[in-house]
Amino acid sequence: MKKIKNYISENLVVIFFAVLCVLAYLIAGQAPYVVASDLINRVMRNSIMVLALIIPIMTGMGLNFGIVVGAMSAQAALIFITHWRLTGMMGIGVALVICTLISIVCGYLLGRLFNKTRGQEMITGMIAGYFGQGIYLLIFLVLMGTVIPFWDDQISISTGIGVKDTLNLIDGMKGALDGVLKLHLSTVLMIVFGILTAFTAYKLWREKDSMEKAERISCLAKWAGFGIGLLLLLVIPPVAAVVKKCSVPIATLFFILLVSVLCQFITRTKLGQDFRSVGNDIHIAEASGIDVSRIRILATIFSTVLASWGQLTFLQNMGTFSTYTAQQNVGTYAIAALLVGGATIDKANVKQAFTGVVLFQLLFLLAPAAGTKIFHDTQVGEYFRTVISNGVIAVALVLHAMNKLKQNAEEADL
Amino acid sequence: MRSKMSKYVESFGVTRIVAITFFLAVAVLVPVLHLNTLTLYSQALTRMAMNGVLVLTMVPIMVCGAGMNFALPIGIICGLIGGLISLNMELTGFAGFFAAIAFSIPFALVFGYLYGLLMNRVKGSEMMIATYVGFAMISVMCIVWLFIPLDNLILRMQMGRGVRKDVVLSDYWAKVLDEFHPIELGGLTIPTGTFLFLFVMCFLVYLYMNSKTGMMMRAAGQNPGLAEANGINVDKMRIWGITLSTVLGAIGILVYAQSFGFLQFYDSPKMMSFSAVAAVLIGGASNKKASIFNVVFGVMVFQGLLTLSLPVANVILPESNISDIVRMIISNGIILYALGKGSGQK
Amino acid sequence: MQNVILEMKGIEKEFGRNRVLKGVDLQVSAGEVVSLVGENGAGKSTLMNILFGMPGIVNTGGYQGEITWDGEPVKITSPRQAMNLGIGMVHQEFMLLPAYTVTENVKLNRELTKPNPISRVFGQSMCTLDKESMKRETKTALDKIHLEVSPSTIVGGMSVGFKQFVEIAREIDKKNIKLIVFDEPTAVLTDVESKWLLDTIGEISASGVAVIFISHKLNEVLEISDKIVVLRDGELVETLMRGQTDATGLAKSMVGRNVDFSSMAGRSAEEIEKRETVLSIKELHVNMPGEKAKGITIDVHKGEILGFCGLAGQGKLAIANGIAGLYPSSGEVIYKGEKLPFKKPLAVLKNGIGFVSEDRRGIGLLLEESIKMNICLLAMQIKNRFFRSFGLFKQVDKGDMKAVADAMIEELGIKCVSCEQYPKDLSGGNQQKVCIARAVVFEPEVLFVSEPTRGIDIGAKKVILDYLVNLNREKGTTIVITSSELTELRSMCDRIAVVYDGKVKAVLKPEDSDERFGLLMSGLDA
Repeated sequence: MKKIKNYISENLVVIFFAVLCVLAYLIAGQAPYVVASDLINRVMRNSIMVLALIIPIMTGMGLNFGIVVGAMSAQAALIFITHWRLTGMMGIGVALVICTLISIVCGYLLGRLFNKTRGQEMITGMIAGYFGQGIYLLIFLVLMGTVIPFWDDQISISTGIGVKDTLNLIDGMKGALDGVLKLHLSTVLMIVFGILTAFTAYKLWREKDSMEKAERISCLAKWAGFGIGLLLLLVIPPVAAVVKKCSVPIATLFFILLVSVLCQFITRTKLGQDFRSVGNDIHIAEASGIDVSRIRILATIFSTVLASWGQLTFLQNMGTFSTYTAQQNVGTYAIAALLVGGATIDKANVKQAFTGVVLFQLLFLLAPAAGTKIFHDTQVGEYFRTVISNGVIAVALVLHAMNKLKQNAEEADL
Repeated sequence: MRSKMSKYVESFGVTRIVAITFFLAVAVLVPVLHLNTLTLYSQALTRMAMNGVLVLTMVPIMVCGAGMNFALPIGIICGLIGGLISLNMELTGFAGFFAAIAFSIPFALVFGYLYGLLMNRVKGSEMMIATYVGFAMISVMCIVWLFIPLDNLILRMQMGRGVRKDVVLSDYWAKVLDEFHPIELGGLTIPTGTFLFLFVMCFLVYLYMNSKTGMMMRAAGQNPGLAEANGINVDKMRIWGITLSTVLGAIGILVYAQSFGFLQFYDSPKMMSFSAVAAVLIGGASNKKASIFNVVFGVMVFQGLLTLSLPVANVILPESNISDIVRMIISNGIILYALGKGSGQK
Repeated sequence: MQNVILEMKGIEKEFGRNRVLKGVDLQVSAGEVVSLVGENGAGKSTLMNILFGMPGIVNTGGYQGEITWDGEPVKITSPRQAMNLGIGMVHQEFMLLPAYTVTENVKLNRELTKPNPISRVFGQSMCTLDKESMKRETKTALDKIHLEVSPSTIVGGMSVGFKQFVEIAREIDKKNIKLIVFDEPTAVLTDVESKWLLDTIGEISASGVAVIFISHKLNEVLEISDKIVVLRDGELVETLMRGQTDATGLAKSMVGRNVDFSSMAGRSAEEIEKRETVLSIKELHVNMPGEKAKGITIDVHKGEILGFCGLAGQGKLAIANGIAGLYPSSGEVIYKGEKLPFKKPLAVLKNGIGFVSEDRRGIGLLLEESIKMNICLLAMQIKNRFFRSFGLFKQVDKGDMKAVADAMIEELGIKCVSCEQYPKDLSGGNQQKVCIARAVVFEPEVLFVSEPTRGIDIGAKKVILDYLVNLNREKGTTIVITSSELTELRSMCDRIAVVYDGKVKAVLKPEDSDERFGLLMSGLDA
């Protein structure tokens, strides 16, 4: 009983939003297939951006509102790709290289800035994001075609100065990553189950001596639970129909998995330990000889690069984007999603990122329909989205600040 | 000599110098490029006057130690509510304008007080929280605006309830201050009423800052530990400062609206705080110090720059949207600069 | 003689105009335990900071003198360099990350790693942590100091004593360690833990590692040291070998100065004690971090100058801070027959009790407001001075402020351009004068002054002390002064209370002997 209570209090945020999602689903009354396929689509294109937030949190810099800068690097890369008419995996590859290079430079500058404003990283990140947008606008709206020689009849504004405010990716670039291989959700789930089976077997075999009986049982139970769940999904007719119909872009999924494995891997390295040490207590880390400024810059670069990859995944999925506003809400939405997943300003992990993306995107796609049903007004749902994202962030910031003050008071008391 | 020079530049701030230089440059370029100088200068004057009170909100809140007022939207929302009530009663002219102010003040007092209570519990992270509390308030109000029952058709959306996005004030109290005995100087129009109103507000704030409460607020803002040791109730001073700032925000948006001719609801106030913060910083304020002079000087340079840069840029680079870009780069640049400096001193 | 591992020769250090080290020599051999003793401000920690190349030293112009390490002359410019040389330190305040396990703390920034495919491309920092080996080595280090705790325990939940031992384990674990500095390690420990620690130090030195031990507990020092180095006012007073002295001798050489008895301003303690009591302190407990008062009882008589002396951390500072209402307190403080409330600075000030804090830059000054405002602030707040009424509202009277501020600047000799200048540009001494001016303009009946001369030059010191005595004699202000500088207290106070372990150990006369002061301050009976 106590265990359940603990579980609930630890996962209060997640449970609250899960309930909200269920309610929204019931009210909205949309077709399950539409919801499921839309959700898969949204999760695929938004996950990496959320993963980009984890490392700075670990390093004690809080929510990195500066990921907007990374997003703009990706947009810049896509503008170049479109100009060069590159498509398919070639296009994706070159875009990845370009946006990585730009975002390393931007991340370095952002990291330098964060080091100058220690303790105010979040507001700095946000303002730096706006500042960066100004520079981005300046480059692509004013300098392109004036200072920088540039003309492209498909991209340029007819006056010759600047880039059009809507950019259509040329055919073959839209969904280039998504389109490599698509499998049905049922197939994907079965593959995942296969991997889980192999993994469980391997674990049982490797730790056959050191493992306790209870552990072994729980390990097997997890495997069996997943199996039964999968079986049910595939057998119950209405659900099965949905699961069999939905398709999953495998290359994108693979990319996301790669990034999350990378995030996990980093935490196990010397660099990851340094991130954590700096995040735990910057002064002690410094006194023990860690080059704190360097570590913080590395963390920022890391986050910015991942953000640019995230925006690239997002935009190739959309196929068309507005050149000057696509980056605007990137930070807010990604941060809100992470917080919905139960992360806080000083603690976040990959699991929370995925939970958050699923719940937040589900709420996002259901809100307009649910709002319309209740209030007979389409706009309510739209505004409800912004209430949720801004509200979640505001509440998280307030709770964090209050906790910090309380902690300081307690420390002074010792 | 050189090091002295660079030290001076450092203390004055590169961004600030850039902003002022740009302002002077465009101000000179306007007649040089044979643009309609007097009209543009008149426009610039109007923009300065109409934004003045919004920038003035920064003084009490920064002095009391709660940082730059990124939560200006809260005050603005109170002003919008006051305006809405006044318009719904179909009051016109000065009566309408001052009624709007009168109606907005109680809201501003309540919201300001609550907001002050919140800020006292999150000391040290005020700016970030202010920003997002402001954003969150705006999005909540977006939904509220949709459901407000209204009588006046000019306010109401066609569907029968909810506020329009932009409410036209021309039949009510648009330009009441601007056109109060405007002074014409050979084509140059000075919006006397708005300036007069701005100066009265500045004077009132000046009196307040020089009263006992104002002095104690300064001490509390600059060194809370010292203030506490000298028997000053720091939390109370902060609440005073924040509330006053919220009230000024409510008045500020109404002054802005009467000049602008529209009352803008929904998302429009979201980014207004950034311009106001930037203006006071360009005027020479730092994180914990802001004076009336900073406000007046800052709003002159910043708004002057924004108004005049657009036509100038249009001559040099036709059809570019440079004014917005200049605003983004300069305002956020100067805020970043202030942030860097603020934490550097610790 | 064994091989000398560290030799410091003629070390000098100045902070601004303040000379805190005036040519100190120190020699430490392998396997030797050398104790550094001296009052606060004698220069012990500055000397150690120099040894560690702390930024506080490097950024203020470095030091003069020579350091020889293991036969080689060295110039230590960063803690990292000191660590690489094999110098370790067990800090007084723990350098441990509470959220980490014992292993992670012991191995902080010295993590063991093993290569993986990615690290071969991207370099060292991508190596995976070798948790098993880290745990194993930590266990070995813990065993060496007999600390029976699992390497996977989270440090945050451990007792203070255990944390101290984890710190030691970290130093021991360093392969090249040759010298460990213990900075007051027993201050926070229980008696049993202290005993255990001293034994451990013995074992460490027996294994050939040199130890520098800093402590105020003279008994401990005498017990474990091979050599005792006494510092006073930045000078080396004496170097004593084991068995050459006892506690009394040590106390005397720590405190002893050529006090000029004729210049003492103090009046007869018997006379003073006959006067009426203005402030009666009973069982005052103050929860001030690092300076807890644990039951102070003393009466303050009208018109006297009472001094509080004692070592840092013993709670002398807590008395004034507690009464002024800055920290949570309990007990009873009766002022003119009425009980003073705690944690209510305003009420205390309204009663006419002023306080000049020891934390000058922290809570003493508005660094970016005019000197004028700094001086007048308190009188404005409490006595509503400096306001002019305009019917409905009151405005600050800047003229009056200026007049008063200028008078104070003149009286105290504050060196400044004008009263509009900001205190941040003033020297320490002048800043302190501004703080005192604020308290004086407020015209208190009882004035608490804490550490009025800390870190300021001699000229300003004299002005401030003379001014306080003058204030006492002419206006009859009762002054309670807390200071680490015993000489000063003895030159101006009527009575001096020695504070030890949060309590008043004894009330002495200024002319009492050096040994008595020294022993009492160290907590021994005299």
